[in-house]
Amino acid sequence: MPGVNAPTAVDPLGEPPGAGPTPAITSNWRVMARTFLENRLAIVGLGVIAFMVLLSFLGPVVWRTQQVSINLLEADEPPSWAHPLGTDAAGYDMLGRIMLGGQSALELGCAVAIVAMLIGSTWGAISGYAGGWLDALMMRAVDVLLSIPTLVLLLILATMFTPSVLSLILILGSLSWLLTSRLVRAEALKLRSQEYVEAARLAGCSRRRIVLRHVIPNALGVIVVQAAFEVADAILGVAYLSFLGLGIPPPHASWGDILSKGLDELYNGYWWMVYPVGLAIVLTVLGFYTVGNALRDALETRLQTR
Amino acid sequence: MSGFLIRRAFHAVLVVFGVTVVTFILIHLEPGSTAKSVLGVHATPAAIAYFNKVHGLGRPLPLEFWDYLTGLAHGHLGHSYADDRDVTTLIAEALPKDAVLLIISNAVSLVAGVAIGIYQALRRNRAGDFVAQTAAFVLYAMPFFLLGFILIDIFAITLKWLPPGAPQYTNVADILAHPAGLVLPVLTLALGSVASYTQFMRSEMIDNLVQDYVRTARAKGLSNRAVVLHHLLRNSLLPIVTILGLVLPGILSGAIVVETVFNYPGMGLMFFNAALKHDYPVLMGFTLFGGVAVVVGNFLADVAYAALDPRVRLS
Repeated sequence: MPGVNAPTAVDPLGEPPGAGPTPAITSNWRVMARTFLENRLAIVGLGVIAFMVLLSFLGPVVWRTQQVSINLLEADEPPSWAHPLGTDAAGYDMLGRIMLGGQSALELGCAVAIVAMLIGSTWGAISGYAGGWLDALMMRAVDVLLSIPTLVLLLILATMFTPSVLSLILILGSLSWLLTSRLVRAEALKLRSQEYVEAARLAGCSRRRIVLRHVIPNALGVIVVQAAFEVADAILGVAYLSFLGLGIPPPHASWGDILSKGLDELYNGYWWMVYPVGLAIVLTVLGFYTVGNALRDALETRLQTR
Repeated sequence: MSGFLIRRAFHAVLVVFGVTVVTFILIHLEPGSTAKSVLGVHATPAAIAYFNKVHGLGRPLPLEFWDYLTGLAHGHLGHSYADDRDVTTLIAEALPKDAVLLIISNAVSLVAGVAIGIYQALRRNRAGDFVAQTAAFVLYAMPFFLLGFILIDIFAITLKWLPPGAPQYTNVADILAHPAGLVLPVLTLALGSVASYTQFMRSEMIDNLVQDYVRTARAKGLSNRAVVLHHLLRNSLLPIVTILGLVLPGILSGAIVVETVFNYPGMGLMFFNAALKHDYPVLMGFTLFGGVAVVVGNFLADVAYAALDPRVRLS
């Protein structure tokens, strides 16, 4: 398997090798896309994500609600035609609130995944490509962070910094890159011994260039798969922090915040403050998990056909 | 084997040392001084100086770290700022309660998970498998606290069968004497982790079903029951040992949330309260304790797996 499909090493004229994806690899990406689309669960997951994106970002355009000033005359109302999902303790329309919360959840999830992808792929690529004691040191650091329960680290960091959207993105991002880095490292180790990488090195490419142009593009598959899981985990992570009172601060709406406020009202029987927003969280997280799973399966098929 | 053991033990010690370094660094990442966040923004300079003196703070970091390490070597995890007691005492007090909660819930989820996983593998792609698979996915995606409150809503508020909070006793015997309050926290934790076991057991069984030894057993004329119980189960159960090690961090995270939901006075609730009060010695002690538990758990799982399965000789 290794090297079978590697782009032809250096051409006789001494052109820098393998600058972009070769046709063979493109067709592999097509195999991956096809396998992904044949997976029915993946389509459902994609559909759920698309629905949530439309609901959160286009929803408020269609369903205009007032989410700025408190309206106690309409507080705690059960679902009705005027408020399909009822109102909360401050008199906000729950459907509109959930839409706003969805915006922050999706944006924050994606931002965290991007931070995690950047840190994880850089860390893993350097570690795997450098090898030796540096590799050992970097990977032991990952082991250490993985052996401390995530919520423990999250709680310690979240109580230290005044919560803001940016601080939450950085905190969650700084804790979710660990698996990405392990996977990218494994990929880098595999690639290090490949002929075309060897050729690139002999052609005088700097280490930085090899890592950026060869190791990371080849590991892109695993990075993307992991990113789908990171979005899901970030959405859950923020919800946990909101429940513990350390989530996105008040002027912003967030699902975790809506949910934990609703949970306080559960003893009054105000079910509409809990279950719709709970469903939104579970569905979105599920959507990203199924897409991640399907992408992983598709990636394996791609590697097998390689 | 002994070479593997030594290397694995060395690695475990290294990671534990790393955990102490990470917790120490984390605590010192805080913007502003520890004394201010504990005593409040209006603390007088004299009060801050006294606090720093008593707790050995405000010195060069390597010195503080050295003192922390020597303290650890003597078994001192530190002294709580908020509670005026040793962290070791706090852990010793809370640990048995956690042991009760975590051992019972894990036993429940392990047994249920294995049983459901076997059922799913034997009835693959039929209605029952589909239902269990969907349930597993939903449980994966559900935050622990939502799960806990749904159970409270059903069993405590609507049906009024069980109390919504955990027993508030200081010793384990009293807690065990009032098991009704334990049911919901245990159920929440068990449901939260059962999906990992069913998923793993299902795929492991499916992999094993097509193996030659199963065909041989069937060809010998053994009943389906004997094949499943004596051949398949034994081979599929072995690797679950490693899963036990892997789910440990998740269980500890879950304990924090579940103990907060049900107000169960264990280490998780204590940790959460300490985090809100910036009680760093307690946070460091508990984090270190959790990290060590995870490292030791993984180490034991690896060793047990290598010892139980002669095919595995990790070199």
